[in-house]
Amino acid sequence: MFFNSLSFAIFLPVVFVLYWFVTNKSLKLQNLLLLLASYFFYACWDWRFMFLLMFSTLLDYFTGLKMEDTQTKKGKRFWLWLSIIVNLGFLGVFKYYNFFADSFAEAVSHIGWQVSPLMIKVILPVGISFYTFHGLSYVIDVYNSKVKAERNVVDYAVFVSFFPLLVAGPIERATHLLPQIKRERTFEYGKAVDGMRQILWGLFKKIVIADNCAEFADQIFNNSADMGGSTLVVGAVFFAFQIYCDFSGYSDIALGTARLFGIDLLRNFAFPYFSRDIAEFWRRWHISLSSWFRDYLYIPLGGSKGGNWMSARNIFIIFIVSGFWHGANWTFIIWGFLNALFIMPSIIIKTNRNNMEIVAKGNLFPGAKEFFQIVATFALTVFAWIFFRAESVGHAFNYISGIFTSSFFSLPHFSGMGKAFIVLIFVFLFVLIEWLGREEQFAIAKLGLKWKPLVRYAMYYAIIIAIFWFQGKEKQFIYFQF
Amino acid sequence: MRKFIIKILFFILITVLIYLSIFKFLKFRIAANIKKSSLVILGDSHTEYTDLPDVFNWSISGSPYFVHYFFCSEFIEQLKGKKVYIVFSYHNFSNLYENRLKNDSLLPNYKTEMLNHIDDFNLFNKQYCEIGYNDDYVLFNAKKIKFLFLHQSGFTRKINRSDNVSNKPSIIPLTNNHYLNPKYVLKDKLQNKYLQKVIELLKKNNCDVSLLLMPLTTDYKKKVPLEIKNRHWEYAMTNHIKILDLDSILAISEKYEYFKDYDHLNRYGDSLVAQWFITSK
Repeated sequence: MFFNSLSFAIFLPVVFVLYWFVTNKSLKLQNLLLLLASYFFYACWDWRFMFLLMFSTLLDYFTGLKMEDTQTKKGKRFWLWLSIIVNLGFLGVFKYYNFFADSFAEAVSHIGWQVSPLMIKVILPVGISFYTFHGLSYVIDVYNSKVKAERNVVDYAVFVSFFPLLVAGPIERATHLLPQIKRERTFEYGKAVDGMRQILWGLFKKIVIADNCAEFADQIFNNSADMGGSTLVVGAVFFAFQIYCDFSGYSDIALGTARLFGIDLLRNFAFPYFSRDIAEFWRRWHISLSSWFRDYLYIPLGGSKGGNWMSARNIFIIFIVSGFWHGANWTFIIWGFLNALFIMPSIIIKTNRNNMEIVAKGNLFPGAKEFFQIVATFALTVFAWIFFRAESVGHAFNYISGIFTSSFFSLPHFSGMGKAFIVLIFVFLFVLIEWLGREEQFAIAKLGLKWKPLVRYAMYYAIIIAIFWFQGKEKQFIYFQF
Repeated sequence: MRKFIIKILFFILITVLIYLSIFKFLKFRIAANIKKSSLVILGDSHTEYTDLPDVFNWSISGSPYFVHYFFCSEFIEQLKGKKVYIVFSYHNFSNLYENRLKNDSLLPNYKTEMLNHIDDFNLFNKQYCEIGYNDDYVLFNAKKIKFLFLHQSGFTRKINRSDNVSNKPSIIPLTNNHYLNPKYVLKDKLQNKYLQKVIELLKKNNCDVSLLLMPLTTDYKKKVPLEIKNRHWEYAMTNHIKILDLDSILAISEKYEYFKDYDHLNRYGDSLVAQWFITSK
């Protein structure tokens, strides 16, 4: 059940009505409804993996309880590691087994051994990387006594599988979401309207920008050997907007949907393409994952306390692991490595926390230096995205070498240039709206709120018409595969 | 809460009303345009650029006859007593249609696109299992309003820009595509059945039905299997249906300057056809 499907358009109002009109007298019933709705939502993808989700939920629920009930440090550690090993074990089998088996076979073939590894044919359970990290954050927080173990299994299960965040995040924290699940929720008009506006904007990003950019990014990446240098640059830029609008669009829909139920999820994107350096980019891109790695990997590894070398080592570790989290392919690992490399100068000269505020706050235009920094950061990001999008490392290197040829100075040429031009106009308008709304939670959070209702509604209809009219070929959300 | 629900319902209601009004208006306009036309063409890529005054042209590239049948069923009131041309080229009687419908890899997305065209004029889509089960079936497809709008506004009218066939690749892939693909294992019964159905429907409603053979290049005709040629002509004879053989009438098979590829006219060819229709009217 995609967020941009008719079935979700029916599912959401039904759950909304039941939630606020039928089960509204009892928090327990509301949470039970959310749980059942979430399991139904998940079962629509593949009911067989429901059992895996339930098992993972129960495992973390019980290990949380056991850790809290165990008095000795050693006992707590046992339960913590049990949860970590089992959770990562599932992730390893479903997501990484084939990669490791294949890589091993290839590695030993260099020393003359021929190994035919046993490959398993299994579909990746949707959302496994997300709900595994949910569960892990909970058990680690319980172990560190940052949060009390949840005693109510329904509440805990809602925390893990709340349907807006179940398949592609944001990766929530027990400290943030569990208190909201346990607290009585009352309907807030402002929050609900805000949620609807965020859903609308998310749909626009996904259907109009991401799906249209995907058409040209796919065409250029799939035929990169036949494309000129400037065309390859255009393809990479299209992909940069595709992945941003795809994933942040999904996150907007998830956050907006959760708001309809009186729940605030963690913000996942904060206008990352307006970042002035890579460190700022990573504070603004997939925030829930970046902060997860920061809190549960970077800091436990020592963070930046041990000086530049320790800091650099830890940065490389978290970026490479982050790349690997995205998928079992060397392309993701190199993507992570590249980002670590890009961020390194600012870590060494300690300028990584220079740009904490949004760019040009309170001003209409950025300064010349800021503008240059934004463009340079965007260019580095686009370069790294080539590895993220490429089918293989070889494909990525060929793509890059294709850019740096004499055809770089020729005009781009690919099929459907007329439509691509229209898409670029949309991208330009989109960037403009994002720029104007960059100080808000999402680009249109405040847009039109002070306008006359008629004009405001005209804006909503303009967005809806754009969604109907300019929708690209429907594509699955990219992050569902992770 | 009440305010929110009322506003949302009102917003949805207005959206639905606007959508329905535009949809009904477009459908009404199509019906009106058919009614005021003296001639209707039910075609495919061979006639999609045929631009004639006073003619309603319903040509969808790759369109099998079942798309025409459902179109005629929808607008049969307006079609009553009209002169109707149904494009009837050799490839329409090859086995490509049914095989493409049953084997998506032969032409990806073809089945979904063609099955969706059946419901171009219905708000909700149905499954037509007899024709082919639509794996990408959706009950409601908002995009169809765009298709109807573009058709009615004339924005979709394209211009053939290719000058002649000499720039095109070898004829072998084309004839393979139409007749010789070894993956065509199914005999095309659907084309026969729905051509028959559309003709019967139109005749029952006093339409003057003719089959239309558009000009083809000599190279192409040489490659058409004899069996297909025979079947093609036999069909018209045994069913006593007139054929407007523009291929013979215009006699341009050797003049490649009128073709954009081996079996499609370019803009000069199309204007020649238009000229013929205007003068012979």
